[in-house]
Amino acid sequence: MIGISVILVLLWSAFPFYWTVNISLMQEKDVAAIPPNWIPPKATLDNYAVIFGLIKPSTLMSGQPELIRKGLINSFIIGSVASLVALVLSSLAAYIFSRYTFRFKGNCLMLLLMTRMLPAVSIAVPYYVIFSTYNLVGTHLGLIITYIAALIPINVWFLIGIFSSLPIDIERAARVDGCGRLRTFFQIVVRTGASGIVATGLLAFSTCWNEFAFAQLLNAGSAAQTLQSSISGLFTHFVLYAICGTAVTLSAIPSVALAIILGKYITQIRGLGSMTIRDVL
Amino acid sequence: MVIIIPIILLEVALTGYPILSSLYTSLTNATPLGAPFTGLENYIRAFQDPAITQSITVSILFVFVTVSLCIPASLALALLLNESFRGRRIVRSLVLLPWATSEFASGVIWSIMLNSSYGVFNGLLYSLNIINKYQAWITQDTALLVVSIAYIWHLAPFGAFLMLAALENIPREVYQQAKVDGASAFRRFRHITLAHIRYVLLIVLILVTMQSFSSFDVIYALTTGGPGRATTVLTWEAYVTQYNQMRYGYAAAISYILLVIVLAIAVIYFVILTRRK
Repeated sequence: MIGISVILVLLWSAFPFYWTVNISLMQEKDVAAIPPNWIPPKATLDNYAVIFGLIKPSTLMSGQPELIRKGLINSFIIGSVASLVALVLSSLAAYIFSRYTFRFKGNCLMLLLMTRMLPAVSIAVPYYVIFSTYNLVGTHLGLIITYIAALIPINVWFLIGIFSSLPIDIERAARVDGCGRLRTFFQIVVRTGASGIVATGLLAFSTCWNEFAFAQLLNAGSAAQTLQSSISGLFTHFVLYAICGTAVTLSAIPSVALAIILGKYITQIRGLGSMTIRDVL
Repeated sequence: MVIIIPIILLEVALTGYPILSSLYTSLTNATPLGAPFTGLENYIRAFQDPAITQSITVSILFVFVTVSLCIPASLALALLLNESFRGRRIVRSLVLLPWATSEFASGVIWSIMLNSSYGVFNGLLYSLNIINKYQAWITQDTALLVVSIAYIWHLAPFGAFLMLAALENIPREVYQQAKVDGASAFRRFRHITLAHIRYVLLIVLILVTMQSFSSFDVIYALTTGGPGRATTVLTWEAYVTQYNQMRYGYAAAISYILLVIVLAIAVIYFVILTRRK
């Protein structure tokens, strides 16, 4: 009984990925076969080569490989910068939230979390209007700023959980020895909490990499277009499914890495299910 | 102290300012040509506009279908992952995969699989002789359901892991004791399992509701609001009004209506969170 359920669940979760990778390894004409080809009849890495510029694209592809390449680079740049900056800001804030109490702590946390829950479209619409005044539409900087604002709440939330579970004695000893607050943070807390911080950073990068609404509404069609936007640009009236599959597979690689790493950190995330505001206060 | 205030202020400014600015824009008739102040006219017009009322209906329908599919799916996943079997750790990572993929990519993957001309879904059913010709799976009647299924494929693992956390807290002895006392599987499920995860179930319910009201990526990927207006939810309506029709003021009003709906649900969420002892 359990065996059958496990197989069904595996099929449900993994089959779409298998199919996407499958068509990415095929030539375009084999994708449209009826009945479908369960494995590529002539497996080829040409689709990947075309995207990375190693092979000349056919005229049918009309600029799609460049689009995906641009998207890959932009997503990487924007995601890295945004998650790094957000990580620095969030870890400072989270450290203070976890080690010190002050009057409006609960309210601050709730406010922070509330901002995360609003629909992306509701915020993207005014962002577009505001950014057009400052010429930030279609730029790397604009999207980076957007992502930093979006990342801080969830990063702070995770990092508070991580920092709170670190033993406070080492920090106390350092303070007794004369370490200033910031120095304590950088030299001790960051070192002991390194794995948690890295995991949060990876999650932040993955969030930026996978984000679509802001990326599309702010940067679509520009030089700073992200990968997700580029994928949406593949679906013109003449779709090349093999290239689509390849682009989606490439975009899924950080996700796969994250799923593997998150599996190890499931204990940290488990706490979120039963954590209440009271626990954090 | 000094460190925290700028960060909080930055965050509030980056989120609060657009929302306030959007409120002002919604009180004007902003277009690329100008922004004359019109007061509440946009909102009055919105509630009389059949397109908007239809979008709200479609949104509510979409949320209803998504929640009805997602909660049982998450629960089933959580119950299964709670059992011990060989390879459980690998299965857990694989189950997390749809969640780790972007919502947009999930939509794209499903759109490729459900393609009416050569999608693998058609191919599979055709090879098994369940259908005798390739179908179009995204029609005006089925679009909402299809988008919902693709959406919960992405969404369910999140709820599943939250529920799993709660399930793992239930000690095995309680089940064994109940079995010894002669309780049937159904009674054990109802009185032990459900009772312990009631709180998490409620949290997941509210989170999924909020998420599905805000959903945009899947719809963009699968149907772009169609066929016709079958999947034109409120988020899509706001997007079209802003980017195709260039009616910034009206779009702001629509997105504000959406914001108020989601905020109301978020407030309920926080009230429940802080009430719990």
